[in-house]
Amino acid sequence: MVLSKGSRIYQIIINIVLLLVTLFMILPLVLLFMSSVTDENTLIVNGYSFFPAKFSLDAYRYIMTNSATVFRAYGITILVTAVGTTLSIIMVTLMAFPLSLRDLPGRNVLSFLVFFTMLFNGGLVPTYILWSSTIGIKNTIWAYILPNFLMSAFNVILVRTYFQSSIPYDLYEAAKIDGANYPTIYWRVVLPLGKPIIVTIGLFTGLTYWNDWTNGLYYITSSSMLSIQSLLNKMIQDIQALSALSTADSGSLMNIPQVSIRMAIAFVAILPILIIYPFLQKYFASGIMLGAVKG
Amino acid sequence: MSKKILSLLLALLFVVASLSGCTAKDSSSDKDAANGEPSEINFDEEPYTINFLYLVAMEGTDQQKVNDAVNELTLKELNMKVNMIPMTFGTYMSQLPLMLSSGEDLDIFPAMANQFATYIESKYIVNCDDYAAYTKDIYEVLGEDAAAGYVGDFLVGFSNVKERSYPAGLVCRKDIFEELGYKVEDFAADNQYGVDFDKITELFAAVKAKYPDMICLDGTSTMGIQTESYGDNMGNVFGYLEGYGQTTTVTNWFESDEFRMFAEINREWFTSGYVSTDIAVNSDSGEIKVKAGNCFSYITNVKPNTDIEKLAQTGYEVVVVPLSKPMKHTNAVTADLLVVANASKDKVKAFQFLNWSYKSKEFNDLINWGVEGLDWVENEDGLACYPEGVDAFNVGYHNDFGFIYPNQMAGHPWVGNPTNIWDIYAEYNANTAKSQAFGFMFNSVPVETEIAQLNSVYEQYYKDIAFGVIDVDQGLADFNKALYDAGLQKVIDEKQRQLDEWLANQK
Amino acid sequence: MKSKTLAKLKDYLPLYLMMIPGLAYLIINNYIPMFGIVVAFKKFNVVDGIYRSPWNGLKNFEYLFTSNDAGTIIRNTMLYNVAFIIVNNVVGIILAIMICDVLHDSLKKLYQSSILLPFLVSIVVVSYIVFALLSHENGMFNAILKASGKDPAQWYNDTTWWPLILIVVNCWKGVGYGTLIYIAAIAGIDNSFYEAAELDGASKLQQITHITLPCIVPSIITLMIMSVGRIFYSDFGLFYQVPQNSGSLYSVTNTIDTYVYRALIASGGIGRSSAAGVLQSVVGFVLVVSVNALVRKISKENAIF
Repeated sequence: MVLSKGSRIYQIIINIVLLLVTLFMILPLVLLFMSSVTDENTLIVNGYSFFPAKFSLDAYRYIMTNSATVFRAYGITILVTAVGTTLSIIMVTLMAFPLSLRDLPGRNVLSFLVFFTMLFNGGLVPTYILWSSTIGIKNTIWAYILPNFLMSAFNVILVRTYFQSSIPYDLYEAAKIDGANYPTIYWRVVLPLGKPIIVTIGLFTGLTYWNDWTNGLYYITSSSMLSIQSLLNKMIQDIQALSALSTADSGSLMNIPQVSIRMAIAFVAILPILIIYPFLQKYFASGIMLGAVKG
Repeated sequence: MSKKILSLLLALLFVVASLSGCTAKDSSSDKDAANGEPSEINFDEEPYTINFLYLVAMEGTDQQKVNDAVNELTLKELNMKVNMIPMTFGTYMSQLPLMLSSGEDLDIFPAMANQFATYIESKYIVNCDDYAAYTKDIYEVLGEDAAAGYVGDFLVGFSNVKERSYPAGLVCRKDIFEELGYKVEDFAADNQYGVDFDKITELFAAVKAKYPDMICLDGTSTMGIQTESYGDNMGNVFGYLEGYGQTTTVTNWFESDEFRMFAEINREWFTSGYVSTDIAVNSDSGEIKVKAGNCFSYITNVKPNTDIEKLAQTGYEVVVVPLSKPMKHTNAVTADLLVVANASKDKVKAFQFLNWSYKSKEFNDLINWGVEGLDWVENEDGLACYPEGVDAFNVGYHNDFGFIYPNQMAGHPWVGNPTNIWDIYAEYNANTAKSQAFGFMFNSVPVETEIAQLNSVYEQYYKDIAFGVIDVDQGLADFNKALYDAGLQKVIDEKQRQLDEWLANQK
Repeated sequence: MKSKTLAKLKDYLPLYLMMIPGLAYLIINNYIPMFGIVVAFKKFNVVDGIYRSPWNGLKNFEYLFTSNDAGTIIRNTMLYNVAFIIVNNVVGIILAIMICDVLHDSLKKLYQSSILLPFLVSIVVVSYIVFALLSHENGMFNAILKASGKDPAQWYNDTTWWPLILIVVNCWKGVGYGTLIYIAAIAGIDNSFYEAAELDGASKLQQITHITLPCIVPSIITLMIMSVGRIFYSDFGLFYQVPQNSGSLYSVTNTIDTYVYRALIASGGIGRSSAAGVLQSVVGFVLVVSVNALVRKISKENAIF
C-alpha cells in the first residue's frame, strides 16, 4: 500500500508518541526487575537503581528453595485461570446477549438487577459464610473460581453495550427470516461478531484470576492448595515474621534478602504472563481483527 | 419502571431470606456446667476434639507429625484430641475475624489486646471467670498476672509466660560504639529515665564526625512512639498515667512536658542530619537497616536477652543503651491473651485443656520446637538445638514463638541463650516497678465513636512529631487541637471514671 | 391475538433460559449475602447471629460524620474520582485511536501489550517503585535535583505535588484497561464509513470527530455511568501505600477508605466497617440512578437500564 505524504507523517508522529508511552509503561518495571537482582545491602544503602553496584540472585534463590511448591502453585493458578476465564466468558455472553435486545420484555429490570450488584454488596462476612459454610468450597479449587469473579456485572454491561451498538440489528432480522432461533443467532452471529469485546473481557478476566490473592486468603487454609499469588503473598509475610521475631540461634535466616525479595516475588508472579503473552497476543489481535471484517 | 424493579427485588428478597440462615449456636446451656466441681477425666467417653488455633512463624512440613504427637499426648493425659490450626500473623489477621463472625468451630485462640472490646461486645469469647474451677494450674503458674485480663468483670483470657516489662532501648553497633570509646555506663543518669539524652546526642555527633555517610538512627520507633515504656496507657494512648504509672490521674500525654521534650530531642537529631530523612515514611525495620551496614542504631523494646536476639537479626554484635526504666502495667501482661471461643462445643473441656497446656513440658516443646529427635534434640547443657544435618532452612517444624504460647518456661530454651534464661526472666519480672493501675483495663465500648476518630488523628500526627520531621511547637499545637476536637476529653473522663471505680473496688 | 403472544413468548423463552446461569450466580454470590447489609444497623453479636442481634439505629454510622475531617475526606474521594475518570478516559481514547491507526503489525502489538503491563503489578509493589523515585535519602528525583544544583525536596512531607503524582500513578496503572475496551469498540466500527470519508476527502481529524468518536459514544457512556457508581470508593492501596501513610500528606490523600481503615485499626466490629460500605453504596446508587435518568432523557438507547 502506498501512503500519502500526510499519512506518512501521521504514522511517524503516532509511532513516536506511542513509543514514548511504551517506555513510560515499561521503565518502572525494568527498575523493578533490576532491584530484584540487586544485592540486598546495596539496595538499602544506595537505594533503587537501573544500574546496581552489586548484583545478587539471592532473592530468586530463596524463592526457589522449595521449587516443587512454586511449580505446583503455578499449576493451580493456570488451572484456575483457564477454567475461570472459560466459564466466565460463557456466562457473561449468555447474560449479555438477551439484555442487548431492545424488545426483550423485562430487559430494564434485569439490567438493573445486574447493575445493582455493582453498587451494593453484603460485605465479606455474609459472603464468606455463604461460600464456606453453606456451599462448602473451602480448600477446593472452586474457592478461587466461584466467589466474586465468575461473572462480573461490569463485564456483562460492557459486552451488552457492545452487542447493542456494534452488531446491526438487521442481521438478527435477516437470520430470523432464514428460520434461525435465538440460540442459533447467539452461536452463529453474536459470538463471531462480538469477538473483539469477548477477547478483551476474556483477557481482563484472565488477568483478574491470575492476579487475585484475596480468595486464597479467605477460603484456603491448606498449604497444598495455594495458588502462586497466595503462596508468594504468604512468603512475604513469613519472611517478615521470621526476621522480626526470630531469636537466639536463627543466624542463618539472616541471609534472606527481605527487601529485594519483594521485587523478586512481584516479578515471579508476572513472569509466566510475560512469557505467554506474545503468543496469546497473536490470537487476541486476530480476534479483534476478525470482528472488524464485516459490513 | 422503578415500581416494577422494587416489587421484583422484594419478591427475590423474600425467597432468599428463607434460605439464608446465618446463626451461631446458642451456648448458654454450658454455663451451668461451669458452676460444678472440676470432674476427674473420664477416659471411657469418646474423646473430645479441641480446635486449637495458634500462631506460627511459618507452616512446616512436619505439621502433621507434630499434631499426631500432640494427640498421642493428650489422649493419654486428657482423653482429648487436638485439631491444631497453625496460622501465620498475616493469615491470622484476615481469617480469624471471618471464623469468629461466622461462628466456625473453634475452642482456643490467641487474642490481641486492641480487639478485646469488640470480642466481648460481639460475644466471640467466654468469660473465663465463670470457669475458674478448671483453671487452677494457670492461676498457680501466672500468679497475680492471671487476673490481669479483666475488662470490668469479664475475664478475657490468660497471658503467656514471658517478660513483663518492655523498656525502650537504643540498640547500637558494638564495633563503632567501642571504637569511639563509649561504655554503656557512660549514659546512665540519675533522672527518672535513667539515661542522659544529651549524651546520646553527643554519641550521634561522634558517629557522624567519624563516619559522615553513616545514618546514626533509623528504624520504626523512637521515645515518643514507645508510649508503653514511660507510663501506663491502660489499653490505648488516649488518656495516660504519666511517670511510669505512679499516679492515678489520667492525663493527655501529648500535652506533657515529657512528650514535648522527646519531640524536641528528635527534632534536634533530625535537623542535625543524624537521622534518616526517610524515617517517618519507610517502614523497614531497624534490624534490616543495621544489617545493611550503613546504619548505626535504632530504638526498640528491650529485655534481658536482647543483645543475643539482635545479633541473630542484624548480624552485628550490639550494645543496648536503656532509654527508660522497666515498669509493669496491665498491657504488658495482656497484650495478647489465650482465650476460649464462644463457638466451643464443650467449654469445660476447652478450659481443662488450656489449664493442662500451662503445665505440660512436652506440649510446650512440641508446639514451639516440633518433634524431639526429628526437629530438635537436647544438647549437653539441657538446651534445645537442631539435630545433625538439620538447619533453619530445612527444618520441618520450628517456630521460636515461645512468647505467644502458653508457657515457654515449661519447655526448653533454644541454644544460644544462657542455660538459666528462665531464672533471669523470673528475676527481671520480679524487679520491675508496677503501675498503680496494674490489673485495670479500659473498656472502650462507651466511647468507641470517639476512639475511631482519635485513631485517625493519632495516625496523622504521631510519626511526624515523634521523629522530629515537623516543627515541634506547630505540630504539637495542631495535634492536640485535633485530638480535643475528636473528643479526647470525653475519653479521658471515661477512663478516669472507670479507673476510679476500679480503684475503689480494690480496697 | 392470544396465539401471537404465545408465539412471541415461545420465541423469547430461550433467551430467558440463557440467562438462568448468570442470574443464579448473582443470587448466590450477590443477592443472598446482601442481607448482611442489615449488620450496619445492628449491634452485632455472634450468639444471636446477624438477624437476631439487637438494632443499633444509625450509631454505627456516627464515626463517619462526626469527624472534623469529613469534609476533606469526601472532597478528596470525589475530586480524585472525577479526575481519574476524565484523565483515564481521555488518555485511553487517544491511545486507542492512535494504536488502531498504527499500520506496522508488530509495533501495534508491542503498544497494545505494554499499556496493560502495569495492570499486572500489585499496588504495594507500585508503592515501592514510587518510593524508589521519591525517597528523601536516595530517591531518583532528589538525585536529579542535587545533580542540577537544587535542594533535594521532602516529597513525603509536601502536599504540592501529590494530587498530580496520584493521578499519574493511577493513570499509569489503569489506563490500559479502558484503552483495550476502546480498541475493541473502534475495531467494531464498520470500515465502509472510513472508506466513504476518504473518498469525500475528509482529514484524519475529521474522521476521528465525525466517525470514531460518535461510534464509541455508547462505550464511553457505559464506562462513565459505571465509574460514577464508584465515586464514593477509593483504591485503598493508592491512597495509603503509595504515599507511605505519611501524616503530612493526609490533607490530600485521606479518602473514605483510608479513614475507615485508620479509624477502625484498633477496634474492629463488623457493624461499623459495613456502615462505611453502605454509605458508599447509597451515594453511588443515587448518583447512578440520576445520571442514568439524564442519559435516558438525552439518548434512550445509551442508558444502562
